[in-house]
Amino acid sequence: MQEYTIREATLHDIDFIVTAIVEAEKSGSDILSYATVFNLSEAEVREMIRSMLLEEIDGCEFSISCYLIAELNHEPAGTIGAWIETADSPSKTIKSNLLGYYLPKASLAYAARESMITSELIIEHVQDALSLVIVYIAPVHRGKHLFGMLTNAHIHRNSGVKELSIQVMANNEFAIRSYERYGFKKFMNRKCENPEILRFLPYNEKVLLKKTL
Amino acid sequence: MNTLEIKREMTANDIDKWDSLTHMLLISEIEDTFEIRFKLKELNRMKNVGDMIDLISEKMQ
Repeated sequence: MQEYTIREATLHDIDFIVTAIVEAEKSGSDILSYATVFNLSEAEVREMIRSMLLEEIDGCEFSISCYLIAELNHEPAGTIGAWIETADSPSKTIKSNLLGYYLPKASLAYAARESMITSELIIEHVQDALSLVIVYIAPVHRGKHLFGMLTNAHIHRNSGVKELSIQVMANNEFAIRSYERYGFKKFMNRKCENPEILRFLPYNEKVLLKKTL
Repeated sequence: MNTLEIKREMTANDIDKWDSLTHMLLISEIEDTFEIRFKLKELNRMKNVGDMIDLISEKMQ
């Protein structure tokens, strides 16, 4: 019988992690927020994410060190990017420093002009909780309990953590059911009634789920 | 009109609506206004408003 194994990600996994970030952002839709918010093509977004991952800066979703990989026969099958959010080193600052450094000035100007509405769906990461930020299981490996395996491995890697948090678009019912099966409970949601937001994001409502360990 | 008192020890966490996008726009505006360009490692060294002010002063000398 084939068995999945869990290991830390390395730069050799970069293509898989780029796909994971892109697919997680799309949340089952065709809308890639980094492309719509910053007026870039998907190819440009992928190249930018790749460059940011190669910087090997810790503490946000563009950090190789945050990812664990589930693999089968030496091929990546799924990944979760997670870290413990701290007040001293907020992930949003690390992430925006990376994005701001790599984005063309024209993209920033476009975002300032067109896409500020997307800020309405921001839910801050929960302080001192282990935030599961990027979750991606390749389609052929879904239904094999890889979410639980990867999450358990992240908990083991961050011994002493007392709480897990995860955010997901409210229309991603399959993912929400998976998280609830694992023991997550809906904690809060944020909704934007302005239909303009659907030009930039896959859905107009986001949910924060938490699980106490 | 809203006013905001800035203190050296302030961080993004202390200021309402200072989110990722706002942070990027702020850095970009500072670069354009002071005609400087931050390196990535300089950006990651800034932990609060005071660090930002010191770095801008340093780069303008």
